[in-house]
Amino acid sequence: MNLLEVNQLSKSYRDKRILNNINFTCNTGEIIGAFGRNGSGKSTLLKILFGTLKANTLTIKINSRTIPQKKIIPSKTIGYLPQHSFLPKELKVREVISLFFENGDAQDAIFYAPRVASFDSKKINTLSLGELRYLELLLIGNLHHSFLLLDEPFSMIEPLFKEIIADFLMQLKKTKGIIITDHYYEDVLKITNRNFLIKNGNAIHIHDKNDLIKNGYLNSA
Amino acid sequence: MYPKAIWKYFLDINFFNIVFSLTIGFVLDFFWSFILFCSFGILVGYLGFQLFKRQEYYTYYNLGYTKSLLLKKVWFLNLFISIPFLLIYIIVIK
Repeated sequence: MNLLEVNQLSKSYRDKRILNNINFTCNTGEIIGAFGRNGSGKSTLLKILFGTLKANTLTIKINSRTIPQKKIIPSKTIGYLPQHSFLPKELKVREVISLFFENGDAQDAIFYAPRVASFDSKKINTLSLGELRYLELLLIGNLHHSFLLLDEPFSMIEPLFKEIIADFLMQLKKTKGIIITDHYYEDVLKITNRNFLIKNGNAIHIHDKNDLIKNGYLNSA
Repeated sequence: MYPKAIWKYFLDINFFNIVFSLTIGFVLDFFWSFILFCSFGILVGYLGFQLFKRQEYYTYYNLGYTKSLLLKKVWFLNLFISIPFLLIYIIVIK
């Protein structure tokens, strides 16, 4: 059981305060949903937690031990699925799998995952959006991080892959804590334990779709 | 350790580096190609990667490698390769 504690997270760009004193925790076994309108700071939040964007103020603790931002990547405790594709386009799927996993058993976990056999000999730049997003999630999810940050894993994905991704995330949460942001709120609400909405830099706790409407993220119609 | 991932980064960075170092070598002297390959050429390679393949850094970040760690590895490997080739060049050609 691992615990991620995020305290006093603030970020400003020039005079504009994007995130204002955000505090939350994430345990192994939890999926936390982060909603927000475009430009509200969802991706900024994840980049800060991954250590690739500097915060103005932040304390991150993993299992009660403070971890400086620049040590997050070398510590291999937090994995991150960025919003845009990051795999080398010129490589084949099987070559990419061997970049991430040296060990045969670990490679097999990807090769024998649902539907991977149908595209494992293709080049990355020929995969459909759904195949690519699913592959990226499989690769990051099977690494040994304690926590995962997922930036829009459901965006533009066909329904069949959405179901596979949701099932995979439910499996992953048995061993990891997951923070997920996506505009596909119905897909997110189905799998999350807790949710918050980032509005005017602040985190507002959300229980269901009605709260998203009440706080102006969705129209009431 | 992820040797295949490190090797991939090494090749990608040095693609830009070799093009730059050889071009300078043709203009000046190939002695400078070896010097540049393990020095300023790495910066050129880094800028090339940054320009065309920046998003791929997330592969390396997820494997636990920061940019500075990757560049240190490339610099060390390039130095290791350059020195013997430079000595051979000096002994045979000069």
